[in-house]
Amino acid sequence: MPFAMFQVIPPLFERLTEVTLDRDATLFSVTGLDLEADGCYLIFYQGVKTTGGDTNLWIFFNRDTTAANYISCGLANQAGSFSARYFGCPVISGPISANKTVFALIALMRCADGYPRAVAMSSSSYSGGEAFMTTAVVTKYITNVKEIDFWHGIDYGVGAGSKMIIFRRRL
Amino acid sequence: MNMKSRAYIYDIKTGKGEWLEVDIPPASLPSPSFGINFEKLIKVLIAKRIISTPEELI
Repeated sequence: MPFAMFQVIPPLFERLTEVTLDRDATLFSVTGLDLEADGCYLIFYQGVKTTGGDTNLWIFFNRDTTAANYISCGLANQAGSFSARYFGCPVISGPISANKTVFALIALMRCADGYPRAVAMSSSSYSGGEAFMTTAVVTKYITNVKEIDFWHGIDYGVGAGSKMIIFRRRL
Repeated sequence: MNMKSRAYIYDIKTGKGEWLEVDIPPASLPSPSFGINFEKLIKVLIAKRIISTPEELI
């Protein structure tokens, strides 16, 4: 499935922006988006975690950082141990520990019920080893996504060098 | 209760980024999880003689 996704990117999608963080931040965001007009986005996110214990990568929309406004669920393989997970918050990737990295490929689309849904595949490094996760995030409070915000679960947890590349559907 | 912290917001319309003070969840907020550890489940099912091999679940 990943290879098929990479093959359709050139003809169907165009790069909208590429942003690299040069200082540590708490939220790392891109604004000025318009999901309703663009239809869907593909987001390549590479995050560097600064300090703290194992925390998940969260994605917020439109700077709505109220965790309870989101639901997420996923399947995780953490160091060979498989689990099904369900969260009352927007977890888009498995755990990351201090000075470790996460990579997530996220597809975002506004669906027939009017709400955006994000699905992702991710790889992250944490204290137990490597984690691989497939996840989905949904919210019933936002219809058009104009901003995407990433949070590493801790104050100033998004480290310098974190990067996101956003593609949109080629019209 | 949310707290204030710094966010880097990049605006694709202006091509510029800025640092803003934003509300974020408290750093200590746990990630609630209701996960099932299938390896443990299989061990329990085998121990209780409900199944004899993991393949019987597939």
